Formats: sequence, C-alpha cells, structure tokens
Amino acid sequence: MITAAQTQTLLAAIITIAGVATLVWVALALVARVAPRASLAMAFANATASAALTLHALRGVLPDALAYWPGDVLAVVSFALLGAAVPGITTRQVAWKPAAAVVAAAALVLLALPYDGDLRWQARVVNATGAGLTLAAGIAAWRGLGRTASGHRTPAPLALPLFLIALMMATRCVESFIRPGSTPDLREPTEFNHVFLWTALVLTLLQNATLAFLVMMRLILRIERLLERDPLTDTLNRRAFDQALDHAHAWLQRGRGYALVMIDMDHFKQLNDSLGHAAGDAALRQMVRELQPCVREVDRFGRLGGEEFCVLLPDTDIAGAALVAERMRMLVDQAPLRWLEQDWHLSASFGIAEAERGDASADAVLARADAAMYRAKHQGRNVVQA
Amino acid sequence: MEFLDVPTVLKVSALFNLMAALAWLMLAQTFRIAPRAGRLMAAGHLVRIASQGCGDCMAGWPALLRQAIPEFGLLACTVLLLLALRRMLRSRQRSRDIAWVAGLGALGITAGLASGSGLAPQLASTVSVTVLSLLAVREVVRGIGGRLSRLITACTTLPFAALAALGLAHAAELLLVPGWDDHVLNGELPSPARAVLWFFVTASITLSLISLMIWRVITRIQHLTYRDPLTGALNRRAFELALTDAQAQLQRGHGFALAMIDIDHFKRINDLHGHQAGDAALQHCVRIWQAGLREVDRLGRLGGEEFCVLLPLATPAGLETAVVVAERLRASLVAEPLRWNGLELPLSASFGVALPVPGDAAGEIALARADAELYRAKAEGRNRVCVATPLAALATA
Repeated sequence: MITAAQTQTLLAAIITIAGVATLVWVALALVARVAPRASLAMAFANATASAALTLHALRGVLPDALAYWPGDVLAVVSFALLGAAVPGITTRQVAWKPAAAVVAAAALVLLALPYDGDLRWQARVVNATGAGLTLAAGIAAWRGLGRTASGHRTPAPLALPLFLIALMMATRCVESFIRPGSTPDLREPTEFNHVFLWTALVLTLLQNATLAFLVMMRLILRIERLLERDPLTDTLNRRAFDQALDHAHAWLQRGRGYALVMIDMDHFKQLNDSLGHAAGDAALRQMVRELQPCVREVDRFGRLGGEEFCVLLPDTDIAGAALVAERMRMLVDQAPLRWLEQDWHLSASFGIAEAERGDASADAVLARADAAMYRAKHQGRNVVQA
Repeated sequence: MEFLDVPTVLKVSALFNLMAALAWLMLAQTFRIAPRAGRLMAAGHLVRIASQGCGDCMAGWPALLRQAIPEFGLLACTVLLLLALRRMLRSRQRSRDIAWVAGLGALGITAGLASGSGLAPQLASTVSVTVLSLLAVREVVRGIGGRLSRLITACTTLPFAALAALGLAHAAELLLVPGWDDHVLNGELPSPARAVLWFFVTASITLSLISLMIWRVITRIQHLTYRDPLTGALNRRAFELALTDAQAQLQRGHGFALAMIDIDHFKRINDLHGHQAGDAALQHCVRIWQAGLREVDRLGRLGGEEFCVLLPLATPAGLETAVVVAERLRASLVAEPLRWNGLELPLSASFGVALPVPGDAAGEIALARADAELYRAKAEGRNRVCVATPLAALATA
C-alpha cells in the first residue's frame, strides 16, 4: 500500500537533489571554470526542475496563478535546458535556439488550455514536450560523443540517461491515455506515481553524474595532452617520444620496421643570440609548422630538446625516409621566418637511419640518425645524410 | 516534517550512497583519479548504507545485531572517510591518531553491547565519531592551507563541522534526555527530521570531498601548464609572468634581484654520458637549488641548462642578500656531486646577479644585465658568482 507520505518524500528528495546539483554546477562553472556555459545551463536545468516540482508539490497551498501554469512552463524549460547543456559539454556550443522555440510553443499551448477540473491535457503537453526535447538531446549527444570519443572508450552509455528520461516521460504521457484512473498529480499515492518518482530520482542522479563525468573526462584529456606535448611546439615531448620509439622497436622483432629522421635547425644559437629567445621560439614554431604536412597520422613527431627534433616513420625503409627528409628540407628552406619586418632564412640538417634486426634497442637507431645528422652539419648544413 | 515517510528517506539515502560509491569507484578505476582515496570513499559509502539501516527490513534480526551494526558501521564509515580525506589532501600524517580513536570507540561499543545497555554503545560511537570529524575539520583546514579563498575553505569544512556538531548534540541528548534506552532496544525508527538531517550531512560530506578532488585535478593541470616537465622548475612562460609581476611590484617599493644560472660544461656531460645523464644532472641541480630557496623565491628554467632565480628582497637595494643566496646555491651544488649509474659526476654552475631597473615592464633589462654577469663569470673561469654594479651606484659615482 502506497501512502501519500511516500510520494511526498520522493518528491521532496528529487527537489532537494536537483537543488544541490544546481549549487554544484554553479560552483563548477564559476569557481572551477570547467566548461562554464554548459555547466551554467546544467545549473539552470536543475534549478528549474527543482522549482517546477516545488510548485507542483505546493498546488493548493500557493495561489493557483503561481502553482499551475508557471510550474508547467518551468518544467518544459528545465527539459529544454537539459537538452541544450548536453551537447554544450561535448562541443562547447550551447544550442539554445530550437529549444527556446519549443518552450515558447509549449507555453502558448498551455496558456490556451483552461486550468480547471481535469488537468490531464496540460500534463500530456508537458510530458510529451519533455520526452521530445530529451530524445532530441539524446540523439545529438549520441552523435556528438561518437565524433569526439577517443579510441576505446565507448560513448553510448553516456547518452543513455537522456534516452531513459525521454522514455520515462513518454510512458507517463501514454499512461494518461490508456489508463482511465490515471492522475496528473504527482502527489497522489498511486502505484504508477510511486514507480515514476523512484525512476525520476534515479535518473536525476544518473544524468547529473554522467555529465559530471563528461566534464571530468575533458579535464583528464587536457592533462594527458599536457603530459605528452611540448608546450612550445605542440610536438611530443621527449618522454612521450621515447615511449613511442620503444613501442616501435618492440614491433621490429615482429617484422615491422621503422625509420627515423633526425632534424636539427641550423645556426639556431646565432639566431637566439642576435634576435633573442622570442625569435628563437618563433623559428622553432615556424619550422614545426612547415614540417607538419610531411608527417602522416601514424608518424610520431617529437622534440628531443633545444632545436633538435625527430620523426618516427613506422613501416618505412631508408629510401622512404630519404624522400620524406628531402621534402622536409626543401619546405624549411623555402619558408623564411618573418621577424621585425625582415625575412630570416631558416634551414635544418637532417640525418636518417633505418632500424635493423641487429639493433638491441631504439637508442642504437637514434644514435645512427644522430651521427648522420652530425655528418650533415659537417657537410655544410641544409642537407640530408644517411 | 511529519509529511515525510522515514523508510523512504532511508531508502533515498541508501540510493545516494550507492551512487556515490559507484561514482568514486568509476573515478578510481577509469580515470585513475585519486584511486586509493576513491576506493576508501566507496567503501565508506557502502558501509554507511549498512549502518543507517532501513527501518523495517531488520525487524526479524536479533537485538544484539540490530544494535551493533549501526554503531560499528557509523564508526567504520567515519574512519574510512577520514583516511580517504588524508589521502586526498596528501597529508603525511601517520594514521596512528585515527587508529587510537577508532580502537577506543570500538572497545567502548563492544563493552556497552556486552553490558546490555542501550545507551552505552551509542554514546561510545557518537563520541568517537565526533572526535574523528573534528580531526577531519583540522585536516581540511590544514590541507587547503590558505591556497583557496576563505569562502570555499569554509564551504568545504562546513560538512565535517556539521557532523561534529550533530555528534555533540546527539551525545548531549543521550546523556540528558531519559528514555533513550527504550528507543534503541525497541529498534525504533528515527524521526523524519533526524533522518533528513543525517542525509543532508552525508550528502554534503560527499560533495565536499568531490570538490576537493576536482581542486586537486585543477591544481595538477595548473602545475603541468606552469612547470617544466623534466625538472619541476617553472617553465619560461611562467617565469616571465612572475618577472613581469615582480617588476610591477617594484614601483610599489618591493624589490627583487635576479640570479641567472648556467650549469658549467653541461654539453660535456651530455656528450660523454648521454642525454639521460644530462637530464639527471638538470634534475639534480633543481632539487639542490630548490632546497636552498625560500617559498617566495621563483626558480625557472629558461631553456637548456640555463636557469634563473627571482629573489624578492626585504629592502629594494639589498643586493648583498641576493649575493649571499647565490653564493649558497653555488656552494651547495659543488658540495653534492651527481651520482649517476655508479659514477660520481662533479657539477658546478656560474651565476650572474643583478638588480632590476624601474620602468622595465617585462624585466628584459634586468635579465640582460644578469646574463652579462653570467658571461663574465663564465669568462673568469666558471663556478663563481658575478654581481652587476647597481645602476643607482653608477649614477652617483
């Protein structure tokens, strides 16, 4: 037997949890500055949900003009905000225009319906709009996540809560048609209301947790990127490049070779001393930008330190590496650095080496490429040497 | 609060704890964020579910069990919480104090249960939980250590303080209000207000810990953005920002000095022993220098083997103190050679010290002057500190 106290408690719990979630999202947006716009949208979604349910729970206590129409509109707004926030967390763009149109339409329809006696049509409008909005957001999230997800993490479960919320609202809408005794009042102690409120509670928690996870994931990806990239040139840093190199060397024993192109900018110290560190930095960035088109998806481009870079080319032999290096040399040679209204000629020396079966570790290959690069320097720079 | 249904409140609370436990486990397993703290928190939440009971579901159980589970459970989940908090804040404190409080509390509960009293076990667990939550308050205040704004520190500390206050109030209630024995022994449900209050305290503690964790992640990102990954010294961008800041402070009478440092014969180490030895040498130097610097000093790696220290001075023209510091850094590096792969590699560095000039917003003149002194130190035979004559002294001479 369901008592009124049970449904009231569940309503109160959902209101509280949505209220607390509001505070958390506001804190995330304003204090931690994590995805601020989407977080604020989530905060408002929770706040409006909390307010709508509060008005619903206080029907009969508050003046009717406040508790009915505004409450229903707030409920629709909350679904719209939820729908706008989810894509915002993945793409940084809060899509509010279509959502605003739907809200306006729903508000007008609700305004046209008379608020007296049977309120089932109002509830149907609210529930159907909610279902539609969350379904649309779910589909958008599904697509958006599919694009941004990296590798092995499956994005599907992250859009799931939205689909479940849509399903829940749709069920409530359908129930009002097929069950004669159904009531739009959430406080009524019916079996359906009891199950509905429990589901709503679980989904409120789940939805907020999922989005919080997405936000965390973005932070983590940022950390991973910071850990493996050189901040100046955005190439791999030494540690990450060494790892990639060891990985490639492990494949060597299994029959997949690789080649290295060692790159050292010519006369870098002179440039640094005469034009200053800022010019040196700009020169490095410029060189990396020029080299980038020669680097395939599978290649690894790392900065070993100072003006020394290395490109790891999997499944490539010495002839292939020579072609790549020669093209790189030309590109660097052709693009001067523009600094203080003047063009400064840049060039680099290249050493290439191919991994051989006898190489005990990747360091041996690296040393050969390094030696080749020094030979290139001795030959007068701006050349490729094997 | 009488419109609320207590078993439903307890179930909602159990659901919340379950979700929180899953969230912590997920953070620990998937993202490897604070894995040990996360597992402790998850355990704490699960224990909390058991300890709060669920009203009628324990009706048929023996009285001793019904009495023991909530008391031991509450104590255990507070202990787990405090351990997680210490991990989260990377406190170096040993857990001996927790062990003592928890041990005494458990002893008290056991003795109380054995005596058959309804009051004694509750009193023992309440008192120990209060002490533990006070420890938690101290932990949070110390762990944050003024690195966050007062408001945020207060918000983060409040839930633990609330738990302590709740414990104190309950202990007072147990002692002063007669008839508690019967409540407990009959296994009566808490009042709605009490159930709600407990739920709020649990939830706010969870939120507080989550915000601490997010704070940790964000500081890590900042650290990665501002530090040189190899040595942990400030990277050039961050050092330049600090220098610009210090130049702005110079107009307000807060002086500083720059000491430019270059490791002697660094290329030789690299060529003779390889890049790894070079990396080890850089790390070694930064470790030694950091140990000899104050917290307000800023050590940055400008590139390669070139470093710079920004030393805030008590008096704007106090060049002597800066020279003393530089001399100390030089001597400490010479005193501790690098041990690498069984080799002992002696290291030394040359220093150039200079005072800034007002009106030089980015500090370029100060850097150039320190750099010039560094070159002089190199030319005069390395492993020494050379000091630029202050421009003010030049002007009066």
